[in-house]
Amino acid sequence: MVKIFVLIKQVPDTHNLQINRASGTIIREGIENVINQDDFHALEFGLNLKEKYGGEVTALTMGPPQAESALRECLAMGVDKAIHVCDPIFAYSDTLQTTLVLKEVFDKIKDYDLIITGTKTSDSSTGQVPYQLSEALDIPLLTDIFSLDIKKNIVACHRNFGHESQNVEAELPVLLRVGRHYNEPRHISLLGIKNAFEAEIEMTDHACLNSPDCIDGNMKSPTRVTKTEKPEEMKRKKEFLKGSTSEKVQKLIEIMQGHSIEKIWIGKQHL
Amino acid sequence: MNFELKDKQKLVRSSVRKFSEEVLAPVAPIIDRDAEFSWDTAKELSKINAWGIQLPEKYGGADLDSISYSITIEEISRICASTGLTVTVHNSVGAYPIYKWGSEEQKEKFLPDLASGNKITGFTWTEPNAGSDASGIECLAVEDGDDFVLNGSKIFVTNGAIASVLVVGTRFKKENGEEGMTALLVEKDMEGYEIGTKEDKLGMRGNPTTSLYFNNVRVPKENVLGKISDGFKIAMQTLDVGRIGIAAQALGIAQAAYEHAVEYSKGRIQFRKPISNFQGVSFKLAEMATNIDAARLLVYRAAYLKDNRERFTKESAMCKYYASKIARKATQEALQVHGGYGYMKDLPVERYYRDVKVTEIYEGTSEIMKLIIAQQILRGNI
Amino acid sequence: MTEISEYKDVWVFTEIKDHERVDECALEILGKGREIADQLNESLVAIVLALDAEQYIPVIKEHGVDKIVYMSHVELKHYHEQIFTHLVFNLVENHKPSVFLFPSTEAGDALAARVAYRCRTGLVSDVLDIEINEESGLNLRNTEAFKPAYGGNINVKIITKTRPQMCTITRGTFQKQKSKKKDVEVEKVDYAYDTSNIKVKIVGTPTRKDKPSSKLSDAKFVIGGGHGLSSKENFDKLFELAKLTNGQVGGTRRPIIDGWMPEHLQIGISGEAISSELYIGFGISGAIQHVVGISDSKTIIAINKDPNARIFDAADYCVIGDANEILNGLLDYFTV
Repeated sequence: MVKIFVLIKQVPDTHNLQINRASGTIIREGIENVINQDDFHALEFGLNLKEKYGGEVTALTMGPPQAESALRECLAMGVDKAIHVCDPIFAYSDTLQTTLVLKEVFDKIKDYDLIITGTKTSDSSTGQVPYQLSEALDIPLLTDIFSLDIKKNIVACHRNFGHESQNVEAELPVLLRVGRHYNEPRHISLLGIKNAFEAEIEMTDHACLNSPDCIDGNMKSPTRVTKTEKPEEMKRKKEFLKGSTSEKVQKLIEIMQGHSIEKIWIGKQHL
Repeated sequence: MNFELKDKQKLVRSSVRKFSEEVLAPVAPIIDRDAEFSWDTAKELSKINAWGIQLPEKYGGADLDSISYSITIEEISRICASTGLTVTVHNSVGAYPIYKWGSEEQKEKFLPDLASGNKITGFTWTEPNAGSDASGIECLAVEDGDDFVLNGSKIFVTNGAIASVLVVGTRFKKENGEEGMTALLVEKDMEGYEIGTKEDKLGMRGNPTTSLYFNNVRVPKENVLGKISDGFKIAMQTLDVGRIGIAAQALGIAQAAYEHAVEYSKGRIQFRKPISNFQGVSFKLAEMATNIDAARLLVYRAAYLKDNRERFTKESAMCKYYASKIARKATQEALQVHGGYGYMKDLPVERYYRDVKVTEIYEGTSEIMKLIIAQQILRGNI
Repeated sequence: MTEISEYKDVWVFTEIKDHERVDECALEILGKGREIADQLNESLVAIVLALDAEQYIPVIKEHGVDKIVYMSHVELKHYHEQIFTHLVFNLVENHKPSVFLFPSTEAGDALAARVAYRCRTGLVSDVLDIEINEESGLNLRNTEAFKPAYGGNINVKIITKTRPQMCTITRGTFQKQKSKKKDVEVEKVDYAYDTSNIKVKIVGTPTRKDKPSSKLSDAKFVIGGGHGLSSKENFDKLFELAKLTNGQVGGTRRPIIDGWMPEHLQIGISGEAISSELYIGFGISGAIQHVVGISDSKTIIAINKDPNARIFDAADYCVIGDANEILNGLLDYFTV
């Protein structure tokens, strides 16, 4: 039975951010929280693997109490279990602290075969956690996969790496990072929603960890945000091109060339 | 008293919204243009249990509460009102009465296929000579051994061209001389069941509305819904439920029109500023927002009462009357905000304007709604 | 534990691309690295791991470095997560740089994150600017990007309390600076790695692969079409132009309804949001539903015969004229 864990994150869904100038943080009140878009692809990937190999999919998130709604959504999508890693002391964790907490959590879980993550989160967008978790748990990370097979405790996959296409094998457990183009996440069904709200969510807090001393999001994160600002909105030039049609075409070609768009030879390989 | 939706209901909203924006939005203008029902879309709707929203899980339904039901219809209709119509009629006036009054055999026979969307259902009462005067129906079912032999015709049958089974309002005449009104479950495959041509409509063009003809259709007695003489009561109580769905549908259309009007008015520059800076426009938006909010509260209250009380006739009539009225106004104002662009088929606003009108007509006209409300008040239900 | 003051020097991971050239972005970062090193009064060091690494030294020397530290070995021909992480982390342990900058590439991002974890230090991704803060060291500015929120980015300033202070930088953020120090120190470090530890085993021979054609949302050059092109035949010419220029075609809602373009190419609300370098809209009126989807593009060109078309308000370059005529003109040029 393959034990699959999918890491998800709740992020604010907003077009117009408000910033608290005193604390330099984003005002999150009144903003809907949603599951990070990439994570839906990770969930879909996990659910597909379960459908193919059997097993169990668990959604896991580290976040404040309101992240429960994200886990309910994962349950509605079809995962079997949900784990909420939540404690006030985890707040303000940067990637390193997040990784350290997740390492503690997985050291406790022990029995895991696959950990699946999305590529990037839409809020901080660092994309570091998969690599760092791979270091922390000392398990391989496979990225840019386009086919995957599990035989006993070996995962064989076809992946792009650099400019190569490779067939690789690794022993379970393995971390997988999946991107947006891997699959089309399923829509959530109404029955799924009903069942999701009848399921239990497992809670993990600071006291549950084996060695909690190195964990303190606020005090022990090596990076600290000192200021948040909204960049100037880009104003468009709105420059009208003059002249005859052919003069306008000529000007357009120049603009295109300025953006490195050149004539290409059909059939030539572009790397 | 709590005005906030439950987390479950919020998830229903966000999930159905996402589904509608991704799956229904691309087909909405096409089924409107071609006046074609889309079976592909019906299959997609099956995947989210939209054909059995409130049916118990054992029949394959999602077993949700009535507010979640309203939200589902609202969100579908916000993107595609025709689809909203097909779905709400199937659920609320087709599957619902079978579940509420059907025998266990009838439920076992029909509900799994209805909940999965393998079969579509609906409800038909209206006839050429019986519209608002529902007691005037002439379709006649005459007892003959183990069957009733049905003759007559129905018009303006929503889902008429696609339904496999319909709840049909008829007069019955038994061999012992007993007469009355009954609701029969009439199946498309029965001999003598004939579907008329599809109506060419102003709006809701993606829903195939037809007439139906019954020529000596033999309907077995096990297809009588509820007690034989309860037909009229079943119809009236079914419509109480159905109207919440129609109100939710109107609400969804109004919401769509309103959102388009807000977006457009912020981006449309005239006299060197966005037209939303002019009170002539912004006051329209303020009115729409207020009306939609009020209508939404009425719809959710009626839904709440349905789950918690026996009768909600007055409240359901009120929400349908009010939501359809303000929705018609919202689409009209949204189109006006868009000016000439709103009149063009490039934008969906003209579709909302066409689609919305019938919400003031079907499942009881606004005039009948006021009649019901007034009757309830004068009977002491103040 | 080492005191912060003991960490010295600005390092740049000078990545070698396709075992044939120094990564452009790494050269750009050397330019910025020089500036920082001067302000801190520390040395700028280029770190090179490659097969036949010596061949890259002359080029790197021209970009203002004080020192080049390199390893050269056949196992370093391609980036390998375990080998590179191990070797670079050892270098950091032995030399203790105060700043370590990485190009934001497939290898650079991965290596930076892994090394930062082993050092238990902070890492800031996709930095836009670096300032020196007297008290706290570097002040790194990057964006906290809210996607797919249309264009609503915010900038954040971040300091790192631990050492080394690490960050990744994307191509084009800084400029290459050519300058040559007189005595550039070159140090070769011996390669040592026990490959029996390797966890991901390559089976068979890898094949060189073309990048898959990019999706609309990632495309650098997007050609948009609207109802103004007036026929499917004309609309098809967009695909021709895209083929000739390595671009991607997208469009408004209307061409889908008209049957000129498949569903998944819609740009805007309920379609894709793009963030291309260049976007050209042919015969698009500029309904907001479409415009929000293109607003993240760096440069926008709009072509429409109506001088009052709303698309012009969202454009950098506006062409009043027949979109089909302009399109034919461009095709004439690009058809070789």
